[in-house]
Amino acid sequence: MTSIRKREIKGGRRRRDSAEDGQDVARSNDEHEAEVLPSAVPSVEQRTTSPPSIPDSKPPVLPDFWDSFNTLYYFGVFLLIGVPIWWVTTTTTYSSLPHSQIAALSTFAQEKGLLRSHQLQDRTVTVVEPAQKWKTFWNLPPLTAVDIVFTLVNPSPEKLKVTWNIEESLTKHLDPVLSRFLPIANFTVSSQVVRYIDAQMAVGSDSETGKKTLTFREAAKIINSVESRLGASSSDKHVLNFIVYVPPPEQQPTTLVDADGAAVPTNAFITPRWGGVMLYTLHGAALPPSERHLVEIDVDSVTKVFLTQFFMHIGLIDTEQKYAANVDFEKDLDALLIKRMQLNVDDSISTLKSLSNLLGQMGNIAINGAVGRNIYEAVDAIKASKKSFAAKDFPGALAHSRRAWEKSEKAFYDPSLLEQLYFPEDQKFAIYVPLFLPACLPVVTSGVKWSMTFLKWRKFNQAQNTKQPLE
Amino acid sequence: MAPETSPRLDIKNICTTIIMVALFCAIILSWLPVVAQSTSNNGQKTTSHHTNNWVVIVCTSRFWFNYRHVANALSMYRSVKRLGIPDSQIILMLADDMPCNPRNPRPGAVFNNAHQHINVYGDDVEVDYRGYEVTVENFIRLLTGRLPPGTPRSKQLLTDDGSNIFIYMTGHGGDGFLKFQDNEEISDIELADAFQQMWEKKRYNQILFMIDTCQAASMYKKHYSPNIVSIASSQVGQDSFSHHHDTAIGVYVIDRYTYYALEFLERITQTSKKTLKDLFKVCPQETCISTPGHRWDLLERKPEDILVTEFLSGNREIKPVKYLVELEDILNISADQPCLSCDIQLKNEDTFQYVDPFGMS
Repeated sequence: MTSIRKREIKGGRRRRDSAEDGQDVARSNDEHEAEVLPSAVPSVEQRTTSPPSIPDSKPPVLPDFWDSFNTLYYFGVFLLIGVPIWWVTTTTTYSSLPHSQIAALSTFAQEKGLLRSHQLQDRTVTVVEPAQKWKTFWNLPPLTAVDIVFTLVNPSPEKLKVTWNIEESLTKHLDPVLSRFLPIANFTVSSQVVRYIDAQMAVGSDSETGKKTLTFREAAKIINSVESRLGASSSDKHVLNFIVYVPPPEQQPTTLVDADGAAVPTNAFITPRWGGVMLYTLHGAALPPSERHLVEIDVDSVTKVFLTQFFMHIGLIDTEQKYAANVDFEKDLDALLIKRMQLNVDDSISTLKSLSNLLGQMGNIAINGAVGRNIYEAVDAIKASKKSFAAKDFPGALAHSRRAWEKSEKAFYDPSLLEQLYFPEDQKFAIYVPLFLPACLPVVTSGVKWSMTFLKWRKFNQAQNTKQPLE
Repeated sequence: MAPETSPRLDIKNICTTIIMVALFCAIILSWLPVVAQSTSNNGQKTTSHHTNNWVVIVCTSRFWFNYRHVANALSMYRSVKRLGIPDSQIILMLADDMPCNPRNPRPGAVFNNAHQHINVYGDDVEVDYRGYEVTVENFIRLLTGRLPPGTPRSKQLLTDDGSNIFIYMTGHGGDGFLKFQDNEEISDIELADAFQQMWEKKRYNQILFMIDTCQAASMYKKHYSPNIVSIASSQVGQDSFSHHHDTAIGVYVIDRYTYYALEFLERITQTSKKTLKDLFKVCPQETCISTPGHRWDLLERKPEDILVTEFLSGNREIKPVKYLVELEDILNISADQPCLSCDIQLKNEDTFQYVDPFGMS
């Protein structure tokens, strides 16, 4: 009862401004009593303001307070709470990034001018000069961990029993070298023996000398046939494979012949970023095919080949070099550290720039806090590296460059960057219709209804107010 | 009467002539873009090098009646393997398990031919993403390299700036999308953006993108990254057709474009000198019914300079080792000098350990 009274009290006061029509008279007694209670004085007003000119037409009624309150309240909730929540939860999160700092970084390759532009239909892109690019293929890409796997491949164990004591030789020759390369990357060394691999290579014979020869193209087949059996899939790092391939007795001794037809004295070759292969030649008289022979690999000669191949991959010696010039290990190592440092920094900068570009191009890439932190740390490390480089502190510069590279890789390849897949604008609209339509319809229609009644009332009221002075 | 009629006739004649000339001009002009496209390609003739070859083969369709899509993908897989690309560098995504489908009367086998010449599901097939793993998200993650930590190596595309990638996709497509698994789709923009991310991160040297779906050309129209060449089985607005039907299993066994592409690839060897231009000629409209589409304007080189084997064979570039370093040199210099910037010295006893031959067949 009280609620009704209250409602009528408040509502009544407004209603008094407008004319009370016949409906009010026909109200129930209850309501009428409630109305009567506070309205002794306003009832006079009521009479004076009632329009005498149009007594028949129904004058518009102001929506009563609780209706208005409900409508406006839900509208408010919808606009002030619902829409912001939806907006906040569906927008892509960006943590602020040092775009200008990234843009200001310049790579060593840029400074050397090894890039050229390539014209596409609507824009120009920067590409590395093909000849330059080709040179870089022979060296390992920037990395911080390498798995070195030494593999002895024996395709015909029924004819040859091959053993090798590679551990001893590697401990003696490889370990001291690797310890010097530790600033570049961490190395893991392992060795294995693989048997029964059919490389399906056709050994030809030289027309003049009658020696068995293996052409380059055929030799390259060893890599693909061995690849699936190397077990490289157990490692997550970059794997460098070094293979000693012992051809079966009927193919012995085989000489490797390069693309120009010249014999390769070392019987070894390398392939970019993957590793190297060596054909192991059994010296001495031709082996009788009937027996099973015991072969002990001369590990020192093999290690020598491995080391040369490894130095080529890491960039200590040039693959184009024809003869062994005096390898000045100490001097070359210094040059190598600088080279690797520049590679790391260049790659890190280009990664950061790519990320910065991509964010500009694609709005749906999310950058969370962790990725943002990595980017900041990478930028700082790049700057630190360049600073150390300028101060001629090369090991320090290399250490910073490694950190920069790791952080920028981590930032670029973070799985959270792809959390939101591409969503075209029209589909965004379509996908939210089932959510918004049921929620919107009552709110919007009640709002429209309320505002229409309100406008009608105000218009009528204004008409009244303009008429009154005339009377 | 005659002088009156003749001017009228003249006007009519002039009008028809003008219309004819206009039409002629219009036809000529309409050809201009085509001519311009074919001549404006200022690619330089350069010998190309690459470090390795990678292949991504995706079949996006489920269900028995889509048998042909699985057969398409497996046939392509077989072809690239035959040309020497090792399994470790082929990512095969198959949305359904046709060999083990209860409706398959020849369990464990998939044939791309009604005469069952070749079982394309042979005895050495490595499917990397199978069944419900074939999603748009996984595909994009694979391309961009943003895989969750701990993803096995066989599910990663470990390419670098020297890798040539062949991407083959088959399934049901529409204008600007390719359906995955009957419940989602990859759009042309999404794919183009993924390629752009790969380009920005230097994850490829060149890409050959081949797609056999309806309206396939719509999938490459949005590409904007350099060095991508695309081949599609049909133009926008066209359906792509299947090749033939196997009455024994009641479904179509292969799609038309793939059938003829495979016929071309079967004749290719690792030493073949066929170029992309020859590959473009595969399956003309009279055999394909649909019109295959090609796009090469993003390339730095001309398609006639690019060998098919650059993408589809496992040819490795190798270099001879012409000299050897002397072990004594290294020993003398490095053994007595301690490492300057590292405090970890390798210990001999820790260096070698037995590792289980994990991942070997």
